[in-house]
Amino acid sequence: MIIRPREGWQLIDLKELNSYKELLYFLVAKEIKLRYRQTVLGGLWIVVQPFFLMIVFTIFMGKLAKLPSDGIPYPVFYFSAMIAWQYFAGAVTRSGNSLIINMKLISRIYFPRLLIPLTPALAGLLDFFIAFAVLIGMMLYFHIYPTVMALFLPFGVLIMVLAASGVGLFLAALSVKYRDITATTPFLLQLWMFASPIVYPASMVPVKYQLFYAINPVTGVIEGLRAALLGTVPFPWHIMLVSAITSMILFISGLIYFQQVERYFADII
Amino acid sequence: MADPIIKAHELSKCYRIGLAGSRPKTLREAIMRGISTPVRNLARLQKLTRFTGEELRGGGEDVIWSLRNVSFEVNEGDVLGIVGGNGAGKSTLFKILSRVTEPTGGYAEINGRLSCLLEAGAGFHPELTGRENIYLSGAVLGMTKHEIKTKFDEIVRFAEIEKFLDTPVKRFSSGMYIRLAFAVAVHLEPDILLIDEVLAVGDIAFQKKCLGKIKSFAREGRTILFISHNTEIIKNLCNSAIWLNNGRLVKAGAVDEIIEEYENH
Repeated sequence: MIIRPREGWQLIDLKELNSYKELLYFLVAKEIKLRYRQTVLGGLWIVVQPFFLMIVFTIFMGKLAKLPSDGIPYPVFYFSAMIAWQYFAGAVTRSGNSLIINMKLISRIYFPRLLIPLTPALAGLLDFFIAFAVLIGMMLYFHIYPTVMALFLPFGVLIMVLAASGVGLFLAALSVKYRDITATTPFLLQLWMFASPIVYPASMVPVKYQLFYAINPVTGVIEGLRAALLGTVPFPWHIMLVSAITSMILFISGLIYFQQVERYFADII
Repeated sequence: MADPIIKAHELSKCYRIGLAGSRPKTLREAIMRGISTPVRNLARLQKLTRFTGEELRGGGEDVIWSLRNVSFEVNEGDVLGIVGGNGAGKSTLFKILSRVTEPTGGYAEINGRLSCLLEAGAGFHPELTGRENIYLSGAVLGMTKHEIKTKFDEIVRFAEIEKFLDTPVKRFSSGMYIRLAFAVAVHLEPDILLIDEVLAVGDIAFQKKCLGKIKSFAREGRTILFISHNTEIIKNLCNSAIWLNNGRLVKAGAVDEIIEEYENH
């Protein structure tokens, strides 16, 4: 093997990445184990946050502000969006901070740096699936049954993971040089939340702006989830397609950007 | 003779050190500066990873060369000691050879599996238990799950931490911590092992044990590069040595000769 200054475009070494897949497994396992270690509530934390937000939204956005919910009981309407949003916001935040948190590792040991920001995006899926099971329980309680389109849910989950990883890769790579990112992320996510159909349905957005609105991949994820599980609206193919394209662009461009700047991480982090 | 297992050719590495700007002299100047801070910060941060041609040729007071045109060869089975004062470039050399950072210039050819003990325990997470950390840091250092499993008992025995396997390592004493870290690293079975001053910790008995392990490594014909300020250990362990000073290679050769010159310079 020859070690020399790299120049020009850096490609991702898939063969090497493959040889480190066990490390990815250990990193994801670590992330999951550590999330709630030395806490009292432990895994209950997964549902505590979306649950209380659901209550607050139901009272203020639903009962007081009387925002529409496509005919679905408010608690289910909000909780279904919260689980996807919690995954997205959590994965983006943790992924964006991951390189700085693992500074010591990065400046001491070599391994593909890509694994670090991808870890939170994968580990977060466990929380998502647990919260998802709670959602199914709530649906049964309210006598809401999924439509046949629920078969497309894995597709929505994929959009969600790609979008969160893509944004996370950008933020993580930028954070190595610009610590502004730590301050920017919570703010960015706050804005992002209101740009997504969480406290209101996408049907509130005028039809002519819907495709534009769907550029936000979270729109596709939540609208798809609600349509497939709760039957709020006919399955929104056009929204899903636009969101799928943006999430793919985010992920691939995130990968490319990360790979270009990865070579100086250990020097300046 | 066979090709050298490590061949470094004119390895160089430069870093930007960052100079303090001049202070504003008038209130007006101070205000103007306050307003333009983001622009100047951006320029400064961007410069961190960009070097001008002039700077790369060796000019510029804002850059420091941690390594400058260092060339040497290591043959299979050699135990090479690396000596030099603080800031000589020893750790930078290890970082380049272990691919943590890339050189600014030159190249290195490595023909074998290499692992680096730059800082024992860098792959540990304080909240994880000893058992979990053996797996995690083993994987970080490039071991497969299967390898770790088969070596697990041996690692635990070597580190002498049987009782504390399920305790988070943040509650370990620093000696236990370092023993475990070293135990994981020496069970990697790399072809080339880079060791940076890790023997400075742990009690005398453990230091002896580590030295013994390193020697048995060398007897198996593996290659070792060893950084230490303790010239006695170097003389005891190594057959050849290189001496670095301010990023440049002063001399390479047989261990006794280099150490003698280094100590008397």
